[in-house]
Amino acid sequence: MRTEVNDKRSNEAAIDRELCIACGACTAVCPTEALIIVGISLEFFDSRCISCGVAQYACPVGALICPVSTG
Amino acid sequence: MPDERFDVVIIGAGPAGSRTAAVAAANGFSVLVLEKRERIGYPVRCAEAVGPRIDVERFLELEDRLISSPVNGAIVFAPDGTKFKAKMPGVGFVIDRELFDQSLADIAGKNGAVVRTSSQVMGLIEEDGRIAGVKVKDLENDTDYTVGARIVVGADGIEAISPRWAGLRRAFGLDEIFSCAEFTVEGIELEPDGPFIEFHLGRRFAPGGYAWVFPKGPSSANVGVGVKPSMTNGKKAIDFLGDFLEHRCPGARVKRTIVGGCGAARELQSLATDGFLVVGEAANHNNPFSGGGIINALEAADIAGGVICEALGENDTSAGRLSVYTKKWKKSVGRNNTLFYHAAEIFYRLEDAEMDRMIRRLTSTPGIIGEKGVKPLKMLLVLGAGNPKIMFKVIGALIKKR
Repeated sequence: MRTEVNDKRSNEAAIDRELCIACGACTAVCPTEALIIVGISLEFFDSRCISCGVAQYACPVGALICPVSTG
Repeated sequence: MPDERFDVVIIGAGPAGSRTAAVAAANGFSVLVLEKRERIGYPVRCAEAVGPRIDVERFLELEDRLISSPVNGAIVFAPDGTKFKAKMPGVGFVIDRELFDQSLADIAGKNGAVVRTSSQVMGLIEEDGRIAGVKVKDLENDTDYTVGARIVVGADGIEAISPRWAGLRRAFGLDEIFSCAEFTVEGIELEPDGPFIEFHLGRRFAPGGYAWVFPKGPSSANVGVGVKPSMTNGKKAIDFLGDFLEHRCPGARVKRTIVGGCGAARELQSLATDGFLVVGEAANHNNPFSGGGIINALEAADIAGGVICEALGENDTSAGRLSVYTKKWKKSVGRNNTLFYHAAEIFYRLEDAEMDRMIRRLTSTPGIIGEKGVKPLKMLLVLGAGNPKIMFKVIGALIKKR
């Protein structure tokens, strides 16, 4: 009820599209719903991202680059 | 006013969603299932093992076309490489998960439920402090609409956003999820006299979890690893899988790659709020020790479906009425899942040498494997016996268990 999927999507900078198969592991751990699977594609809502880094740890294939924790 | 109205709207057409839909629709209620993917069950996000026929067939006929391979036992490989083999004829099956999910959705449809694919739930509708429907995007036509519901069911799996919107859960922690990668391979040598499912333990291939070989045919299998992201120092599941493949079946050809998260969290406090309930992996219903979740999801869906029908019949879909579902779940599978959670918390954190000893102790305990697999309380007690440090943890776990 607090948040919902909106239409403000950001660029692709944080997601390596070659590696990502939109499995949803990152969305499960993302505490702010900055990562959400829409259809069968991973979408990143950067205004919600708090750069906590958990998503990149949960990703099984290394497809996420956290903007802050990697400098 | 919403654009459409149904008695029950279900988010997600996996086993939990489709089974809940089938039960509610069979009882004459109008049911809408919304699945964001274009094709039900695809892409597969699963290692595809289920239990014995008798368990599966409480929910659907296990037709030959749904079966990739029977399973007649298990082999556990301790971190030091020692093999523990248990023949258990008929203990389970490796299934074709895509066809399996589609069959369950078909049953829901035949019972009268409407199942819509390419339909993403964008948010919940709240009315007078209760959940009263969903906002939907039709991904095919890029149009938005709303659906009113007397009860909304969150069956959105590991991604589990709707129960967060409903205030029933938060995101999974890095300790509460297995990060998994799996290849379906061709040209793997499997143990004779099986087929056996293999579990390979230890920090080399799967810190915090296990590596597996689940047979799909005479020389093909799902070969995977699940690791706890908090225990890998940043190394990825797919890289552990590469190492494991090299070790277990170096020449095998990779036919399919599957990655994903698998819940390993403890039971939720509550599975329902006003006008909403959560079922399946979205509700942490899968076994936090093995990761297995299909039968548990179906079982939860049966309980949820029953309570939904009663609540709708009485026209009382309040949190209090729906909490009967939480109570029933906790008295059945939920109780075992809590024990499995504590056992997993102890077991997967063991150093390799300690795990070697523990596996010896577990496998030499008579009666630890029952008809439905490992008995969780017995396992928890064995984990505690003979090691004061672990015993202390076990006692703590038993006291804390709800």
